[in-house]
Amino acid sequence: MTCPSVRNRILALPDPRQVPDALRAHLTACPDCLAWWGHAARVEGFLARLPVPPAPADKKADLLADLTTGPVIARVPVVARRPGRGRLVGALAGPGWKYAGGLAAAVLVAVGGWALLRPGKTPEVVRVAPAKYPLLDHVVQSDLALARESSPARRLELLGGLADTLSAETRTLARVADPDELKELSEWFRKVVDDGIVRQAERLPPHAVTQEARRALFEQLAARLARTGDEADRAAGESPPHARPALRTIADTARDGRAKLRAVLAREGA
Amino acid sequence: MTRAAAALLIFLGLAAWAGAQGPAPGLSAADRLRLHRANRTLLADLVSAGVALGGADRPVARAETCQESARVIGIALRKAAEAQDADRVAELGDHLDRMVRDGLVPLLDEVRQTTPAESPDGKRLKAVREGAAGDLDWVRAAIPPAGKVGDSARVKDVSAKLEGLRQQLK
Repeated sequence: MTCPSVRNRILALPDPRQVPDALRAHLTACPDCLAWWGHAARVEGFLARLPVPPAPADKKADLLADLTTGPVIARVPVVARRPGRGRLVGALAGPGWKYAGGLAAAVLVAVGGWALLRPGKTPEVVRVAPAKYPLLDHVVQSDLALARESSPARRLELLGGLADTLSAETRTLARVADPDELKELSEWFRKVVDDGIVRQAERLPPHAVTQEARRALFEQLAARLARTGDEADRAAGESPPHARPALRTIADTARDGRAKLRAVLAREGA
Repeated sequence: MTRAAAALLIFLGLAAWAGAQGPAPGLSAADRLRLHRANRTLLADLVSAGVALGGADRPVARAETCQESARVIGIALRKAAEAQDADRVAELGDHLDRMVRDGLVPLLDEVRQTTPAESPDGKRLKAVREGAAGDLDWVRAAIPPAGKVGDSARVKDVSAKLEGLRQQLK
């Protein structure tokens, strides 16, 4: 199988990101095609995010068939001219209506000109506010909430929210950020889970919450981490190769954190 | 006539359809990545601060970390002012304002009510207050009074907010 034929087959797939095993074998052995496929998958990902309704599944095949068979324009349609004007159109075309129409247009122009050019009115310049980075906003909010919160249990919940935010941002940037940036995001996630959630759970004072509330809190955090791990795993399966290590780090960290929380619960229950 | 009526109907239909659309889609992936790159260093510091705050049981320790967060935002703001980036100065100024007004000042007030001034925590508290006030002065000094940055209405608003915060930290 030659490189051009592999690329043509990938382009003919309904979703170039889902490559069958026969083509995947070639991609594994051919770095050029692998890089090309990475770009194609990225373009497909961008297209999927465009806000348009999805086309029918067979639309692509129909379009390709139309392009490859027969002439594009079969015949030029001839539009028959109507033999005469209607009564109403004839009446409106009379000289009296023409004068009235001209007068109305002149009044409109005069009113519009006065509205635009009247003294004392200055044109407003509408300036679009530049975009803010949502992750920065979330992290600042999270830090603020942590600073103001005196309950250690509630701070533990807030750290769980921060971990979710970082995991979601890594998934969002998976197709466009470079491997170092994604690795850094996964390291921030690891820091929040290991040095924040797990450590804080281990040293949560016994008097901070009741035993039942403590169990419920830890179970809730463990479930949250399990969900985050599953989402990161799924994203790794759908992302280009360069993004997978960071997403797998997040999935592993989440699973490891969940196991450590369960271990803390088991130790306290024993 | 029929053609004009049809064109008018189509136009009205399109206008109704356009009006019924939801809000414009959010940031594009490219814009998001650009913003991520601009904020990487700041984010690394703020995430570390968040982890520290999660484990800080004493209000004085949280006030110290909060001051540290305000300081790193201030450093980023100064860099933005030096780069003549008025929009970024305004954005970071808003974050700095929130961090000091809603985080640091209430914490300092809370601790001051329960901590003797001469106790070790009271001395730490005093150091945090003075340090935060000095940081605000340092940041305000970097914002030019005029020019591309200084003439921006949003930056003027930030300068006024920082002045107000400085008064609160006296």
